[in-house]
Amino acid sequence: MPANVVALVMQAPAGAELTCRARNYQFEQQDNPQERGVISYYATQSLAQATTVASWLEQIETLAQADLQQERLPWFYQLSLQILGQAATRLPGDPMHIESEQRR
Amino acid sequence: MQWVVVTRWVRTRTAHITHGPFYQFTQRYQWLEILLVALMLVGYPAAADPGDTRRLAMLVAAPWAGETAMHNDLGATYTVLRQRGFAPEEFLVLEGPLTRSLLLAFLQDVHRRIGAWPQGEVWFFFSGHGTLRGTTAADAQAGLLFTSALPPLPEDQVWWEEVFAALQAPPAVQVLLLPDS
Repeated sequence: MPANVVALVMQAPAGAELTCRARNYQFEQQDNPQERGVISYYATQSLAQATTVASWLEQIETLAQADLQQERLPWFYQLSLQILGQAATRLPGDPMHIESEQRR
Repeated sequence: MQWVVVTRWVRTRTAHITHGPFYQFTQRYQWLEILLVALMLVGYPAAADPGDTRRLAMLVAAPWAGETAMHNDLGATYTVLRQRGFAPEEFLVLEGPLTRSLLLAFLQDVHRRIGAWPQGEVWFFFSGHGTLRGTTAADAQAGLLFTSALPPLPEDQVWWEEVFAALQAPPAVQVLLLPDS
């Protein structure tokens, strides 16, 4: 991968067979089921406020873990992502600030 | 925004998601009607425009027949990047049943757009299917797969190293890649 590329990609467990691990799942969004890529779903859910690739991944994992624990996402779809490249890279665009943060 | 949809009628969409509810429009889209081929992005300036923001979001969705997830992913990514301040004209979107030739041509067009940038940021999102070649994790090569047919033809797959070679982002242009494949 070129040095100027930072990627957020699925990682395979050590010793696992080589296979594509990205999956789709039907998420409820505003009471409407919508088929989404699991990676994309959590990536977009957490992107608005993220500042760096590392913080973005952290938020993705937090959201996905919460859904797993509350059984909104079956364990089969559990995400295991890794950063290739510089984790501290700033994400393009400006992060949105949620109201509670702005009031502090 | 430039939007290329690969259909049998060769159509472009340039304004639909910049105005009005994106999902309302897209849910009516009939994937079964999508058969073929091509439209290339044309007319990009070869040199940097002084007013250029030096920022670009490339969104690519490559569903197999009947799949809707990739389109929904693309719409959600567009929405959240708009929330982060990306302007409609900073998007390039390629969506539909892709082929190797189409994707590489798209990337080469993107290269013509960004190749003269002294610095900048490129957001590259791909939603579709992945493939691997190799026998171990150490020698595995990852790629993109555009068909469910087995075995896939060479025209139905692209390796990531070929993607990066076609894109050739200048060294000071940071590429942020999110492959959902």
